[in-house]
Amino acid sequence: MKGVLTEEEKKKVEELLENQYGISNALKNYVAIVSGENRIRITHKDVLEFSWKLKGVVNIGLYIAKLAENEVSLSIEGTQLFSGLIRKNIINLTIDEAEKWMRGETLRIENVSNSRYVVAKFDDIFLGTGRVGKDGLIYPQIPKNRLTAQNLRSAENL
Amino acid sequence: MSACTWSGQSGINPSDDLLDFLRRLPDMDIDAYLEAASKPLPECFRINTLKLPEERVKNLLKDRGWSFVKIPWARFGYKLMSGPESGLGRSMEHMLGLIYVQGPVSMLPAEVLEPKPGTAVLDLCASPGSKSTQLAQLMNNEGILVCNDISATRIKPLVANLQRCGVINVIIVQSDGRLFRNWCKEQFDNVLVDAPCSSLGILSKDWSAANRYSEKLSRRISRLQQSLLISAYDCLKPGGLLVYSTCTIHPLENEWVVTHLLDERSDAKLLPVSGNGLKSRKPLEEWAGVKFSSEIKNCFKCYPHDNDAEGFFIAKIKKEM
Repeated sequence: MKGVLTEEEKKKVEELLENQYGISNALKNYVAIVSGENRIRITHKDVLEFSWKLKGVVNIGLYIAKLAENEVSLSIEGTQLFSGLIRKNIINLTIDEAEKWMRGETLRIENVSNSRYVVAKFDDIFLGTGRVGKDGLIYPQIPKNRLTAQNLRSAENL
Repeated sequence: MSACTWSGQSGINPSDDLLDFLRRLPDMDIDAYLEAASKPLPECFRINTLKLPEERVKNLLKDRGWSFVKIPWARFGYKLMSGPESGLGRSMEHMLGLIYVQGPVSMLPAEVLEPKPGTAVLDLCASPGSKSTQLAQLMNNEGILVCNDISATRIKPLVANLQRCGVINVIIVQSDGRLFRNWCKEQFDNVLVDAPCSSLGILSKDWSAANRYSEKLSRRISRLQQSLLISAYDCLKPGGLLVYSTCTIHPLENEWVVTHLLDERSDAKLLPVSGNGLKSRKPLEEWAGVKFSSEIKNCFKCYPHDNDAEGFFIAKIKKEM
């Protein structure tokens, strides 16, 4: 997939989101664009159409997820945007765990499902996606420039 | 007087060029200006309601040990009073996009422009995105927000900040703002030109601007600002509103630039700008033998020592139908 997604391609992404996170009709009200590194961005139809008049367009809309081998990991904004729709693979963190998460530290959480990705939240605040490692640890997928402390772990640059 | 012999109380040494300029401003108290430049700006932030309701974020911040007071001139703006030592800029709230750390007076231009949800808005000189993210918030992520910057280096923080704040309705463009009118004539309801400037209103943040200053530099920037403002104005729909702002106190980059637009475009009218509680002063009617438009009195101007914050100039311009 590349560029502006067709309705059929959107459906495929929606299926992935439904299977992994229980999100229904996630992209219904948006146009979706797949840009470099399989990143999915969303915006509104009129915004996309307006962009056709412009020269030097760098980016359109909001980066919400990354596609990887028939799986999808949500960005921090993706989890926040779909916060009311996410039904499964959620881990609830304490404030201390949330702070660790934002520092990029791995967490050990009991009874995590066997999904490869989980969504973390503290209270009603969504914190992005973590990758569940074979070692049972959860690796927060926080971009380097959004870690609250540097040099703790080389976070995967989303 | 040379830089070394300046006998002010601030403990900082301005260049001869800067001192000469300050002395030629009729309403300038040099000691007060340099004193303000020697102090850090108050730490302020805006709650980003695109992420969570304002009350929810306020409660979260309070629970986590921050105390703050409302800024009267910005709907979601707050001044930090105390909090954890690590600072707001490295806090979880900042990294999650729940807040945006921003200078207090810097919040005023977007408030003056007051874009409505569903409209088409252009931020011509957008990086690093403080005002762009504020515009998106006021638009409630509805409508079209075009954020432009000429520099590839400056596009990166713009992209990062718009992402962090959860802006969906945005198009980020890297182009020369002076050319924008060639492909976007009369396309926007609102335009913000937060122009590149000599930064003499934010020396407390960046003293190097004082060392860089020369009259020649201001004249060169002024010509660029004039071209940017004309281009931005031509992108406005008839009946549309434009805000021109700088963080400098130089009349060549402020009053003169706006006067040039009024001379060049007969349908441009200046509307009054209210500081909503910010202390302000009258723009100059003339400077260095140049007479400015009689409408210039409608603009907002403040020096850094007026509010112990940034010095700013803001013009609100309407394109008549």
